[in-house]
Amino acid sequence: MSDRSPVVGGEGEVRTVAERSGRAQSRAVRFTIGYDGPTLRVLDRSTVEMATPPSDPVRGYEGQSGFWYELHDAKGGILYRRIVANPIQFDVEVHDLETGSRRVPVAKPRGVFVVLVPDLPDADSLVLVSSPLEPEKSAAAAEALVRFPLAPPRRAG
Amino acid sequence: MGTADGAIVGATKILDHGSDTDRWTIVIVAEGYRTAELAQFHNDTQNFLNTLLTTAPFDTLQGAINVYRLDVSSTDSGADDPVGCGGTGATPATYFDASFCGNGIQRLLVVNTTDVLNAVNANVVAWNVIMVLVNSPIYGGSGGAVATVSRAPAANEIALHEIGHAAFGFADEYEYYAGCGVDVGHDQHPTVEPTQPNVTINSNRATIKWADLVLATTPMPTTTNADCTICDPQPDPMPAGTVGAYEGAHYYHCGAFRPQFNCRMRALGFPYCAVCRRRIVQTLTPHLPIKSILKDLKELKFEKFEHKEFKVEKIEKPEHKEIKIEKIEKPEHKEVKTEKFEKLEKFEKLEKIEAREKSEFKERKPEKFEVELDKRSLEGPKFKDAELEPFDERSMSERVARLESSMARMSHFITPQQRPDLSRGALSTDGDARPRTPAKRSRPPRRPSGARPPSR
Repeated sequence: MSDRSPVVGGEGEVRTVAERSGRAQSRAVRFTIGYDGPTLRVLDRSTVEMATPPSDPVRGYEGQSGFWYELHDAKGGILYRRIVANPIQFDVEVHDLETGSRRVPVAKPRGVFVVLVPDLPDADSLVLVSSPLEPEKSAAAAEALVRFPLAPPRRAG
Repeated sequence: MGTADGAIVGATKILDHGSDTDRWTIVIVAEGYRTAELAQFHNDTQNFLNTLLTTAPFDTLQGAINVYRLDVSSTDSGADDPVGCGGTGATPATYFDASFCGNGIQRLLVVNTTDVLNAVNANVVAWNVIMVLVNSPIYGGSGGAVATVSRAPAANEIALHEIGHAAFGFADEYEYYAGCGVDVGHDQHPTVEPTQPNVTINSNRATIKWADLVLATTPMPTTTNADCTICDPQPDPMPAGTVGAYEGAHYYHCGAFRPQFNCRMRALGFPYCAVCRRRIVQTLTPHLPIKSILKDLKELKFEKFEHKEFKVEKIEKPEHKEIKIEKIEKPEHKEVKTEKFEKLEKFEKLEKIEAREKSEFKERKPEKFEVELDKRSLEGPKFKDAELEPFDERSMSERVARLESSMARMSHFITPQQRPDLSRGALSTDGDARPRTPAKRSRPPRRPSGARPPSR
C-alpha cells in the first residue's frame, strides 16, 4: 500500500518513486495514444521538460477496477503509476442543466488521449491498465490492456 | 471545415507563477471566435480563471498554477448546432469544428481533439490540462483528452468537473448511470474496489480509504439505501460537509459509497468534497514554489498530509549544512551572511536545498502533526519577521539575497506565541473542513433541492 519503495537516485542516494516523480523529476515523456474501438496505438511520443504528477501507490491495488497507467522497468517492477479517468471513451458523460449529469454509451468509440510519465532511466515500457471497456463491465477488475515498449523518444519543442 | 477555417494567433501566459517546467499548467483554447471576437475570448478566459482561482482548493494553490490563453481565430462564430438534436441548424466554419449534438446528444459539445492537441503542442510545450472554450451561449460541454465547454456561465462547472476526471482521476460519485428510474442493472455495485480515490465499496471505519477524515461520531456507513432498485431518496442526515460513507456511488444504487453527501463529482454546483480536495492538494503541492511552501508552513495552510515523516532538520539546524556558494553577484549581499552559512559556493546547490526541503515538507504525517509541532517549538527556527516575500524567479541574485535575508532572521527556537494555529488551516473557512461545526450547505443555483440527482 505504499509508494515508498526505494529506488536508487542518480547520485547514489535512495529516493522514493514519489520523490522521483515529484519536483525532483522535471523531465517527462508525453505519449499521444489513439484508439479505434479496443485497438490502441501510439501516435506520438516526445520528451518534455516538466514535472509529472506524483505517483500513486505502486502496490496494494491488485484486483481493483478503474484505469491507470504504469511505467515498468525491464524486470516488470513498477516505477510509476497514475490513476486517471478512463480516457478510452466507450461512453461519455453528458451534463444537462435540467436533468443533471449522466452517461451515454458511444456508438463508435474513437479518439485520442495523452499520457504523461516521468522520464526515468530504468523505464522499459508503458502499460495501460483498465477495467473492461464496455460500460456495463466498467466496474469489473482491471487488467493490463496494452504494453508499449519504450524506444528513445524525440524531444518536444 | 477545420483548421483551414481560421488561424492560430498565438499563446499568452495570463497567470505566471514561474517556469512551466515546475508548475501545473492549464491552456485555455479559443474556438468559434472570429478575430474581432478574441477580446471576448480574453474576457471569457478571465471569467473562468476567476472561477478556478476562487474554487477550493485551487484558491490556496495558486502559486502552483500557470495559465496560458491560446488565441485561435475562426472564420465564423459559434459552433455547429444540428437540427437533429433540436438545434438551429447553424454550421459555422470554425478552426476545431466545434459541434453540439456529439453522439446524437444535444448538450454534448465536442471538438476535433487531434487538432486541439496539435495546436497546443505547437505553442505551449509543458502543459497539464487543456480546456477549449467554445464561443456559444448554449450550455454544453464534454470531457476526455481535453475539456470542452461553451461560454455559457454555468458551463464553468462542467470544466471543473471534467478537470477532476482528467487531472486527478476522480470517479463520478452519482449513484445512477443514465438516470434514476431509468437504469437497468445498476442496483448493486460489483464487489470490486474502485481504484479511484473518491469512491469505495468499503464502509469499514478503520479501513475505508478516507478513514482519517471520518470523525468517531459519524455513523458508518453514514447512509444506506433501503431499496436498491432505486436511487436513495433520503436527505442528508448529517451536518453538511460530514465525511463518512454514503451509499450510492459510481453509477450504482447500492454497494458503493461516496465520502460526502454531495460533491462536484456527484452534482455540478457543489464544492469538491474533502477527499477530492485532498487529492488535488497532493497533486499540486509538488508544483508549488518552495518559498510558497515555507510561507504556507508558517501559516499552516495545508490541511492534511499522508506521508509519514515531517522533517525540519534543515531549518532547525542550518549550521549543519555544508552547502556554500562561491559567487555573490551583488557585493552588498555579502553583508547579509549568517554565522552558520559562511560562504556560498554554487547556486546550483541552493536549488538542491530547495528541492530537498520541499520534498521533506511533503512528508508530514497528520497523526503525528501536533507532536511534531511541539518538537518544532523546541528545536525549530524563529522567524522574526512573519512575512516571507512571495517567490520570484526573476534573477538568481535576488533569490540568493532573499534566502540569505531569511536565514538571517532565523533562530533556533520559537516562542509559544509563535506556535502555529491549527485552526487556520487551508480549509478553515470551508464547512467541509470543520465537521464539528456544521457550515451552511452550498446549493447549486439551478437545483434548490440539489441533493438529488435527476429522477426520470
